[in-house]
Amino acid sequence: MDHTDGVVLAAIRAHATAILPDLAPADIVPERTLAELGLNSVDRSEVVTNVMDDLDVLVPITEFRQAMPVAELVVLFERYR
Amino acid sequence: MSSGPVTVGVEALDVYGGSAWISADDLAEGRGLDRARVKNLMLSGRSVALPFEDPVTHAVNAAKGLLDDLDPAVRDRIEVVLVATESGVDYSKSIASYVHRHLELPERCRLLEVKQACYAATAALQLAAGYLASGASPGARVLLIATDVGLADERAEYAELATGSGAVALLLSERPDVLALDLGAFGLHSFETMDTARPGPDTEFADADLSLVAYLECTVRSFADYSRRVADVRLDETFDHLVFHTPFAGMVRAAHRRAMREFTGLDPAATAADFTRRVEPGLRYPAQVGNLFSGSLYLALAGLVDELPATARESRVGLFSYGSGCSSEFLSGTLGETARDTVAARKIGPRLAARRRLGFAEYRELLPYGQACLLPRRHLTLDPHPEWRPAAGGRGPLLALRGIDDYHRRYDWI
Repeated sequence: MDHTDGVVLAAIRAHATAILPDLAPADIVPERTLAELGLNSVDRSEVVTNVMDDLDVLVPITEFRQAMPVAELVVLFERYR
Repeated sequence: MSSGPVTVGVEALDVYGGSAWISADDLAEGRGLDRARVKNLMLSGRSVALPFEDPVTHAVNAAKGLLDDLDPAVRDRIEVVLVATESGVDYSKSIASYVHRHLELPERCRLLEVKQACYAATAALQLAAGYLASGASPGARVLLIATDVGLADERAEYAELATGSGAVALLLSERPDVLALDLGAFGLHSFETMDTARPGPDTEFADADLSLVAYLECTVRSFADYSRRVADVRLDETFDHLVFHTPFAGMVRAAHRRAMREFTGLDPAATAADFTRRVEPGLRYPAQVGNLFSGSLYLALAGLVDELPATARESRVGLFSYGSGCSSEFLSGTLGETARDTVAARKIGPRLAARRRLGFAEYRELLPYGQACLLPRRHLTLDPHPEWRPAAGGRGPLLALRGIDDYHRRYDWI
C-alpha cells in the first residue's frame, strides 16, 4: 500500500458499494478480499474492470487471481497506473 | 458463378439439449447452496447426460433430425464436417469421424475436430465462411457441430448448476436462411491466460475471477476491434439484438453492462432496459440447458430466433464469442425473414420441454457417467440401461453408446 494516493482504493470502494449498497466504504479494508465482503465472482469482475475503465489503467488480465485481498488489488493497479 | 455479392452463413440449425434435466432449485437444495445466489445465475435448470451418452452421441443427435429433413441433393453437398469440442475422446481420431459415419454423410468429405475452448465453434464458423465465400466449391455445405459434456460436480459449487451437456448443429452454405454473416465485419482479441482448462479427460481447472475478468475485457476489446474495421458502428444502434457466449445469464448481464458503459452514454436504467430488449430473448434456452461450452453462443442464437415475433422483418444481430485460454470475437450478421420459420421447424423449445425431469438422487446417480464417458478405455461393455431410455413416442431416433472394442467406440440407434 506504499506510494498510493488513495485513488485506487476510493475507486474500488465506489464500485463495490454501487453493486452492494448494504456495504459501507469503510468496510472495504485492505486486508479483506472482495469475496469476504459479500461480492460474488461476477460482482468482483465488474468492480475490477470498472476500476480499470475509470482510472484508464490497463492491467494485463493474466495478473488477476482468485481471492486477492483489496491491498493486493491496489498494488496491482498502482503498478500499471 | 453469380456476379452478385457473396452471401454465406447459417442455412439451418438444431440443438440437442439433452433428454434429461434437473431444476436449479432442486440441485441447489440437494447441494445445500444459497437460494438467493442461485437466483443471480438466472437459471431454471441444466441438462444432464444419460449413461449411454457422450460427445459423439450429442453431436449426432443434434444434427440427425435436421439432416433427415434435408433434400437428399443438398445433403449430398456436405463436403466438410467440423466438430468443435473440449470433450475429445482421442488425441488423434476425431469425433468428426464418428459423426460422419453415424450420420451417413458423403464419402467425398473433409473431417476435422477443432479446439479453442468455448470459442472453437466460432473460429470454425469463420474459417468455413471463408471457404464457402471463396468460390472454391459453389453450392457446397459445411456441417459444423459444437458438442460437449460438462464435468462440473459439487466441487464446482455454483458452477455445477450452470454447466450443461449437449450439442448445437449448424448447416453453413451460400443460402443463409437463418443468419447471413456480415463478411469482413468482425473484431478479435486473444492472449494466453490460464483461466479455465481441461488438463486431462476428466479434470477441469478453473480460476473463476480470472476467467470472468478476461471475458469482460474481451467483450470490450473485441468490439473495439470490430469498430476499427467497420465504419459508423454504434453498439446501442447498429444491432437489433445481441447474443453472447452464455456460461450463465448473470455473466452476460455483466458483459453487456460493461460494454454499454464503455461505448455508450446510457445510464444504468437505460442500460438495463436495453438488456431486457436486446439481450434477454437469447437467454431463454441457455437458462434451460446450462452452459454448452462452444455451442452456448449458438444455443442463445436459436433462443433469440425462436423469440422473434411472427411479423419480424430482417434484423441485425451482434454475436460475442469467448473461449478460455483465451480467444474472442465480436461478429455480426442479419436474420432474414425466413429465419423464424426455419428454426421453428426444428421444435427446439417443445423438445426441451419434453425432457425427463430428474430428482436430486437420480441426478447424483447419473453424474459419474458424464465424466466416465471421456476416459480412455480399451474395452467397455455398457449396460443398456433400459430404465434411462427416453420413451419412444414423439421423438426421433437417438444414437447411444453401446461399448468400446479395442478403443473403437460402438453405437446403436435407440
